[in-house]
Amino acid sequence: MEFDRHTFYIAASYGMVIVAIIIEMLAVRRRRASALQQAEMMTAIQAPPTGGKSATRANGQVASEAS
Amino acid sequence: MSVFKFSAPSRFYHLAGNLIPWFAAIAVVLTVYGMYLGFWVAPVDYQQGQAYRIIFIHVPAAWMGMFIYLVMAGWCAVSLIWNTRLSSMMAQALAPTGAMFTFIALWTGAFWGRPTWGTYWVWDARITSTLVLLFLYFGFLALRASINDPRRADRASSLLALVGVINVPIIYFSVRWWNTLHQGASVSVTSAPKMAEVMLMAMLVMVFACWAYAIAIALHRVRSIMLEREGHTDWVRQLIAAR
Repeated sequence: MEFDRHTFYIAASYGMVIVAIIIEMLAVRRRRASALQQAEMMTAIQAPPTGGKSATRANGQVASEAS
Repeated sequence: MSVFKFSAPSRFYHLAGNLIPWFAAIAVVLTVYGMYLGFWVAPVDYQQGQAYRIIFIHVPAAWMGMFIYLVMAGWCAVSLIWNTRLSSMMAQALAPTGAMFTFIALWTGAFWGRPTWGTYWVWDARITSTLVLLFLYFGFLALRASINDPRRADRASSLLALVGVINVPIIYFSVRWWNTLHQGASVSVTSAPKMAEVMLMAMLVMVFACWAYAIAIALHRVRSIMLEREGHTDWVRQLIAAR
């Protein structure tokens, strides 16, 4: 009977350790994915238009058509 | 070759990426070995019964909670004095892991205290000062999160961390300075250990496992922080373009 009670205390302790580590690992993975996505967006915003002059012209055409 | 060249986030990012698998592997191997020693090799304690096996995670977690805070405060001091970017990022990366270990120390301590002392919680100096340590970690994280400008957040949280460092010696010496329910140190550098050799061995193996885990997870987190804070720089653009 005493061993059963002690088993509960041990399980509650080590169980919480496992839960805490899983939560921390998931949080770290999620933050990594979010940071990568954010960096990709910033890179895309700051990147020069691909295709040089023709792309600029294409953008200009679109702008003039819109106006 | 100087080690200071790794203080540049662009270089440290790659170094951290190479180190993570090694520390993760060390953490797994040591945890398996420590658990084997703690649960299969170490005998039952004649006074505390099976529940004493909680100390194989409780003591390492408590040590890590204090140790990580000291390291974090060290990085904060470097950040304040030399205004280096990497040091504040390292402090930021260590704080959640330190909080996690402190929480585990309090939680496992409660489940060890119930069969040993007859109570989950008592407001004695050691336990209360450890709870204060957890609140300091929360305060550090909350203060950082509440300030939008990262450099201002670095300075404010660094100051808080440095002021809070006074709590670490209070935790450590609380069992000597006050009459506490929590027992004194079983392991000390100045005296012989007060526990069986195999139990001490299992506990020390778990301490090294926790160290390796904390290093691996902090390095993983600091890489994300670098991407978040250095997203406008050329090295991050090159890194993303190369993916």
